[in-house]
Amino acid sequence: MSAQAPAEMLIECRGVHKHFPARGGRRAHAVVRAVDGVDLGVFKGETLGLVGESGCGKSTLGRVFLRLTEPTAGMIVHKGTGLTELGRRALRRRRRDLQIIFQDPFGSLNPRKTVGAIIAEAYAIHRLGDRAQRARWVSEMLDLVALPREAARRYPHEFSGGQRQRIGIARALALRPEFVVCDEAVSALDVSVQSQIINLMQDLQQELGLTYLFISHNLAVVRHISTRIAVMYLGRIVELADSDKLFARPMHPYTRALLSAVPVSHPDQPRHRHVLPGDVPSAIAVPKGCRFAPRCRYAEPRCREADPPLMALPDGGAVACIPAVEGRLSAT
Amino acid sequence: MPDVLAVEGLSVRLSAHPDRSSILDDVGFTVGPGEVLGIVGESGSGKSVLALSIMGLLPPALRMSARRITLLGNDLADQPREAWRAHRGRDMAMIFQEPMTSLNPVMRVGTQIEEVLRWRGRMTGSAARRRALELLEQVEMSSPRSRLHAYPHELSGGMRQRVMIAIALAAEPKLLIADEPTTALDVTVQAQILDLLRGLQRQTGLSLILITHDLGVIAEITDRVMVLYGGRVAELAPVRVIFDSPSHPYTEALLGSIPDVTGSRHRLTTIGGSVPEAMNMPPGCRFAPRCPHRQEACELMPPAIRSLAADHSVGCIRPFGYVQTETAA
Repeated sequence: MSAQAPAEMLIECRGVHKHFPARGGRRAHAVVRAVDGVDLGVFKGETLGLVGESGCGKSTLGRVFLRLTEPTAGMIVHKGTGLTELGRRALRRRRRDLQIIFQDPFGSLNPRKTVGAIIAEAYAIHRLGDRAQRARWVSEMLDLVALPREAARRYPHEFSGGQRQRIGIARALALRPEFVVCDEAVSALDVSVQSQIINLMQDLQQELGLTYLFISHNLAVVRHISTRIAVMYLGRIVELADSDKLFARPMHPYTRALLSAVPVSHPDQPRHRHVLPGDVPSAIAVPKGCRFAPRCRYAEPRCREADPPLMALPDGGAVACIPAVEGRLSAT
Repeated sequence: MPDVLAVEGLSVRLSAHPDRSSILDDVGFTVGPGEVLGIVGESGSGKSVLALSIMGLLPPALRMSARRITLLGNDLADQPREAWRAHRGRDMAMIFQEPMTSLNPVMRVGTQIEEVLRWRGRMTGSAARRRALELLEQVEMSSPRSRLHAYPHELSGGMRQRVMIAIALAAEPKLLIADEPTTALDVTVQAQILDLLRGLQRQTGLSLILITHDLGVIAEITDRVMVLYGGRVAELAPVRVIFDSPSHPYTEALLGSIPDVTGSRHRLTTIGGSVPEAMNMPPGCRFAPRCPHRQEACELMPPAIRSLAADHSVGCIRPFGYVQTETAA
């Protein structure tokens, strides 16, 4: 599904860092380097998948894209303007185009508001329409996510998990944004309901021309929905490639290990496990040089000296691994 | 060889509403020696309640009845709660999804393992300590000797689950029940724990019941699979039969609704609606309201579990791949 025409960059992170002060403990000046130097752009109309294990910084990066979390350094460029330079009012106007869908359909909806009020809040904040018009828009949004119109008068607790996620989607799309961050948007759902929501999100993307940043730890779901996939490890993007290419020919040793750990989809499917030694290091004590080197079976002495940048490959992908770029890794 | 566990006619209801509620209904299955039985279902299917029923750990709010629960030749179905205690830990043990809530946060790992050894294995001091170290080595814990002195919060999620497995194995049970043991773990750690469970099972001849919502985990490790829906058995068959020729419409829909990591990006199958609730189960087949192949008869009474082959049974009046003569009904 690679685009033929030169793709237009919709939103982009340039040199973004997000460091949090580490709370508690004796090291008063320690920082958690949640996002530690990321350049990542999303093309208009695509679904960019962002995968990684817990603590790799993927949710923080998703929030930084919308400036819901203020980056420590670096900039976010949306359609040629720096989001990081905008004042409060200008940022609020810009947010009409930039939305987010959260994982937890129980925690992210105000239990004391009706579904209609939850969706219409966006119109109130942006002073759009009058009462009657907002009610009409709410009905349209409910139609769009295939919920009955009378849902507007009911409360979130009256709905199942899948229905609540539809409400979350309706709220995110209420202002017709062009870019939506989906942060583990289907992870809390049962598989039969998860497939309904995935199909809905794909239909809405077609219908409304949406661009998604799809964050998930579930590699099968990410592969299914994404055009391109970025793999994150300890605050950095280590590989970026077309979805099919990433699964067919993963370049980075971490990507290889990650993909080999995905459960098989049939009992007869062969397993080629690359078992990783140890655990992910703490984002407080990031290893020197390549941050994956201590667990990497291909690591060379020079890998431990300099942190490799994300290097472009001839096929359009990119990888942050010197031996991989030099073609020195074995085929599997 | 006789079955390690045989369950027949197991039902669980809410104690407060025994007539109107149904969490499990007429569930039956067996687990052979050295066998891995997978139990798969979505939330509300009753899979975790089933595990607690077998362990005799149901909370008072739930009431169980069964025709038969035979563990290593002993029928426990009508026994008082005290009788189960003699078997818990020694004959059967259980590990849970979130190891942090099952481990004692103020007790060192070694002490927690030794506690089981003293109680179940009748070991003392240094023997228990030596055995605890062996168990940590057996579950492939990194630097096991120093981990004996660690507290649970000092360990990662994967290491905690290894400790839980070590504790479960301490009294050398014949049956291990693992309820979503890898759901809280990252995929690379999940792979390590599944490899470990499979290795231990082959090495010790342990029988394993693995409860999960993840068909990938089922494909990785199980021999036979029981699919639960709304507290009833939908289908029970060898793992390859489940994946290659499922007979229950729910099994088929479940397989179609998971994205495939290897195959093409077909549009996912969806199952309309959502799972029924314990207080509001449909009178007939519990899947009927969501079933694309529903007929009138499906909604009248619950389908009997029928055998399609010696090791394949299904709870559907018109299962796929099974030619039924119209007059037989």
